[in-house]
Amino acid sequence: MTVTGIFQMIIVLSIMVIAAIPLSRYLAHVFNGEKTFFDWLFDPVEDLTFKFLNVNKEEETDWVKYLKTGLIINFLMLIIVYFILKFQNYLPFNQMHYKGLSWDLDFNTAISFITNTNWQNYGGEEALSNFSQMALVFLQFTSAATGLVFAVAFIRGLVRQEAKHVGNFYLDYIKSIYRLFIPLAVIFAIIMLSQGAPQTLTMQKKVTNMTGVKQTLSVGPVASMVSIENIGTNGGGFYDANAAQPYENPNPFTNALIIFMMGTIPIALFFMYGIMIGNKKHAWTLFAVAMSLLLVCLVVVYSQEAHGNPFLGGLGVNIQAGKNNPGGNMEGKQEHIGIAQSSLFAVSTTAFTTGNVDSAHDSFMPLSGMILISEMMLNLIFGGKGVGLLNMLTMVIIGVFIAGLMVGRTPEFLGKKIEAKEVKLATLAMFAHAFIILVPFAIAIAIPAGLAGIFNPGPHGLSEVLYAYTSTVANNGSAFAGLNGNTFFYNISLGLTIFFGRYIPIICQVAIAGSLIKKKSVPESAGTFPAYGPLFYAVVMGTILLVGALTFFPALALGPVAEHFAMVKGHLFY
Amino acid sequence: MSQKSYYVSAFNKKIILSAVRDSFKKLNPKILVKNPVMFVVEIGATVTIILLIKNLFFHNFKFIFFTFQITIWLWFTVLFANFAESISEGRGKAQADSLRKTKTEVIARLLKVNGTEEKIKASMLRKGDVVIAETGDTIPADGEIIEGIASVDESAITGESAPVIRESGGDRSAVTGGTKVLSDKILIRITSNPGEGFIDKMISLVEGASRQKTPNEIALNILLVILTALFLVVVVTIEPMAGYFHGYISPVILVALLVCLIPTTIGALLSAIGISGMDRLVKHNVIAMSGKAVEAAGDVNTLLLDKTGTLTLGNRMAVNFIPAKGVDVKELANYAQLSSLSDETPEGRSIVALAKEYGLRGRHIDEKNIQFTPFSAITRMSGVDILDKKESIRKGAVEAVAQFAEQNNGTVDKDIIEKAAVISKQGGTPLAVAINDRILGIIHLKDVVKGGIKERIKSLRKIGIKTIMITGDNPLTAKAIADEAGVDEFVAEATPETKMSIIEKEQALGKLIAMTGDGTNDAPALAQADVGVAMNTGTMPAKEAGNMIDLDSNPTKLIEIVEIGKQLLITRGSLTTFSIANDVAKYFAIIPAMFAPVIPWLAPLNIMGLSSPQSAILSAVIFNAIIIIILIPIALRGVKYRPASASSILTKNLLIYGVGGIIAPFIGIKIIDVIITYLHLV
Repeated sequence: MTVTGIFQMIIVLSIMVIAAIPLSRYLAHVFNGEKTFFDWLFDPVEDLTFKFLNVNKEEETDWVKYLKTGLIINFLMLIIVYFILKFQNYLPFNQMHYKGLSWDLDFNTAISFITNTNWQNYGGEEALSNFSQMALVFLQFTSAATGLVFAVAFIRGLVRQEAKHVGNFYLDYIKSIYRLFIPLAVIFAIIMLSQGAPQTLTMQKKVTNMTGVKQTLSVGPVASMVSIENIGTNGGGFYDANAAQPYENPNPFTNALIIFMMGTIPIALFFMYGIMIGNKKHAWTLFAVAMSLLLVCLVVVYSQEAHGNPFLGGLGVNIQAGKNNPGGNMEGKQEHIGIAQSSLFAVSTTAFTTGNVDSAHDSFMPLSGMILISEMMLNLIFGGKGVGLLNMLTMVIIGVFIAGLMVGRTPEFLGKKIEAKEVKLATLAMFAHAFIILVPFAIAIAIPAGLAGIFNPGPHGLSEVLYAYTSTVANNGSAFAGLNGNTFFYNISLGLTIFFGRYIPIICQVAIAGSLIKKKSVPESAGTFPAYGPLFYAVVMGTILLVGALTFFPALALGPVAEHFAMVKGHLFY
Repeated sequence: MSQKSYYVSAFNKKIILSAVRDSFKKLNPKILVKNPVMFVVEIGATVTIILLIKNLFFHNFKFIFFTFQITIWLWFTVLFANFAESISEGRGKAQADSLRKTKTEVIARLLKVNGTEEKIKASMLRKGDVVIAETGDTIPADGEIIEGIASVDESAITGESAPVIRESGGDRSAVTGGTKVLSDKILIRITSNPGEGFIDKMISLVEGASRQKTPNEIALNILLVILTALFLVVVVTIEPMAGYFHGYISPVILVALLVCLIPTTIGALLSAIGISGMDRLVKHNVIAMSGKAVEAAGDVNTLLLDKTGTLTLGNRMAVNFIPAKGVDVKELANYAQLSSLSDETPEGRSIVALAKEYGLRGRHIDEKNIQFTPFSAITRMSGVDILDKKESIRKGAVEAVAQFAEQNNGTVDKDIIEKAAVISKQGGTPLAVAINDRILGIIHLKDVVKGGIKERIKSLRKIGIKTIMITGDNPLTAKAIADEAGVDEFVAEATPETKMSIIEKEQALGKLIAMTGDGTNDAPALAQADVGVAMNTGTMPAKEAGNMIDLDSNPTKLIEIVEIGKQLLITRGSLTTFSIANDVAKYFAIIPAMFAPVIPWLAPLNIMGLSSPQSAILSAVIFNAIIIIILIPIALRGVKYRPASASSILTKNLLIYGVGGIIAPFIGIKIIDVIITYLHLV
């Protein structure tokens, strides 16, 4: 580990937190329906949209209708994009005459993008027309908005008392796209453009390079996609190699910028939550939980990567960092990005469930790999748009329930009683997450169709499959590499895990909001333990670690942990 | 308050024996299915038996002894859980039995419409019948006195041997079947049909026959069931993982892991905790009509306390002597005591006691020489005439005594009248003492707050409970007592409707209210309150409206009821935490052992240094079983509870049951491993 490396991390993370504070205020105003500085611009556009959609924006609905509306819109978009990808050869901007995707790959891809996952079993520049890419960009806006508005509905469930209505889905949805994602996407697309990312409708460019060799360069509307893929924590890049491709991530500055784009909104959502419920101390405590988890992960990954593979060291490879030697584990990393930034990128993309990668996670040290998988298993270290907050609050409800009993009262969360219904829904969400990861994973490593895709033997191969199912269920979308996912089995099974991994927890969580919103809020007293401060931190952290560890300990032990101990003993799996 | 209660210790031989018997009866899957966690263990234990038999046929002897031991311990796990439940039920049953003894068949003297009397069996009585009960009769059923007054021995229900007075009309007209008339004759209108009486209700309550799961228990059960399902998924997916490494894990080991992971500890103790929570109330002579009420008691935010009888002793006591000008305090004390010698009222006795503080004790008086004048409502004073000294001593209302002195040609000092007025203003009662024409001074009588009340109120505040005092007194008196007792709020000049309006106001804020009451006019408020404790001496409507009945009729007990409710929830939460935290150590014991033949690299995970894979698994299973037995006393007694803020209670319990729950099994499993290795059990 180097001082510069550590400073790079501190600076990037600090800027994210600082930027998140004003952003959170703005977002709270937006979703509380209060005045903002930009109303003069957005109000008329929104009114026009609602007139066009024939929607009364004043009319609020209960949680069932809110949820239903969101799911139906998701489903319609899924169908549309499925057909765009299927028939891309009949559609414009396809100079390379790429054929439509096979139905299983198409199924996988459409679901992957509608759910903010962006798992990619295709290589973008070699399979999709620019029109298809732009269809996916469209979903990158809407899927981010979907997660965000469900979180907003949940927050209203906590804030409102003895009420029924959680909000107007259309209003929240359009607002989050118009007032958050589009403006930011435009700004960051321009910055990416200035840094060298292409933005064109041409698909390929033939050039003669400096050495006189003729070369074909794949180009397209890259800058716009990089911008929303990260702002919306989607992670699906234009190119197969995602941010490891220089056109998507030209230099160390853009690398840091991408991390900034991924993390700032999820952090801001925690603060926004604090403002909306009127308890900032509570939100800061949850922020502290997530941030300390992030930092622990970062320390492990960076130290592991910087330390390198002791086995290679033993063979005489110089793994010590020196003037002209980065040292450590450089396998699968870009020279111009380096170990520190790659570590931060990898930890961030799995924490903020983006799924964009700038290095091969497959080539990280075993324990680093374990951390990356664990982050997605928890899926609440700030997390993706809205869902990270939702998952955090689900864990809070479970933790508060048990801890609440321990103080001798019916457990309360922010003054609302946590009763059988909330416990059932929260634990179901938790159970569904674990079930959808573990069961398909176990099937995949038991049947030939699953085993066929595995590239490496031993525990590393196990990690490859575990990573794939965890990444899809967590709607992360990053890949460990090493696993050939574009097979019938993986396209379908991963498509299904993405689908259920996304919607079952969300349905449970919005239902919790529907139940909480009906309740009265009991004022805090000395008899209720405060939802902030070190004690609350310990309760939430303890619940997260205990539930996470107990659920995934065996799988992690057999994958990365076994690989680590094997490596110490001198066994490698290649 | 040393009195008999129906509380029976759980640890007597008879209860233990019958609990052991019941533990086996409860192996019946039809019964066990109500406890899903233990039901899963039973299925697992059945699976291992089948495997054991299969191994016998395949002569797989190497593995048989191990399988046998695992199987035995799995069955022990189920039996221990059943035992925990049985023993808590056993205590209730024993209590019910002792109540049933009071229910011998009684002959009732039915009064017919035409005025004649007929003897019939008590079990033939119906609601609305009128019966006669005289000295020595046992009251045949619950009823209301419509005529007469009698002293009744209610020890059958309350355990209190001193008789109580019951009379027609007013708030003391209710009588309970099974109690005995000690004197006089009363007419009773029966208010309950056979089998629905108070004692029947009590029996079914303490026996747990009508026990329903409480809301928090239901929620916790859901959590436990889903956790069980989660661990089932975890364990089932281990087999393919082993298969990936071309290994095979015996289902015996998988069952062992599953049983260790699912929350068996809390699953086993959950119903015992609930039953013994109700039991602890019985120990305090409180009968809760439902477990829900006990839980609600833990949630209470506001206590509504009557001033008289709850916060104060209900009698005014002498607290100070204020002499008139030129009079020595001792002289005043002397005559005050003299005047009160025959006064058997609590006020009178308190004056005698106070005077003793001035060294006036062991007084001898010549009875022939003395003539007492008792208190009457007309004269508003009482006193004594000492005939040989011609001294007439009078004590009573200030104006009355002043008049008495003036009649004896004395003058009344204005100063003393003013002093008396000050006492009145402070909420006290002034009594003047005069001898012949001279007013000696004033006795200050005060409504005295019960000892220890202030501390109790303070500890309630610490746990976030607001206290509101209700009194019919004027605001000044009310304030004085409220300050002295340290209550948060008070309502003076309250009418019966005041309680109701306070309850509704607090409930509108989302708060839970507890109160006590005994009168019929308390009934609506008792019904509206979240926890309504009716006094056993109270009227039938009051008892029916409340969700708890205090057999001792001691309103201060409300505070204990709240603590018992809290303790119940704390015990559940703490043991749940402990149960889940235990899993960490079990993983570290079983996972490396399980995979030792398949993935030898995992050996460093065996951080406890357990001697062999088989001993590691067996140790974890044994620990998992005996921890249930070890925790039974805590489940029955409840986790220690001392009033403190929620944060400090939580911190303490998190450290003991959370952190302790992580560490304890590491030590326990290691010890068991050492023992079974030493005994060559594996």
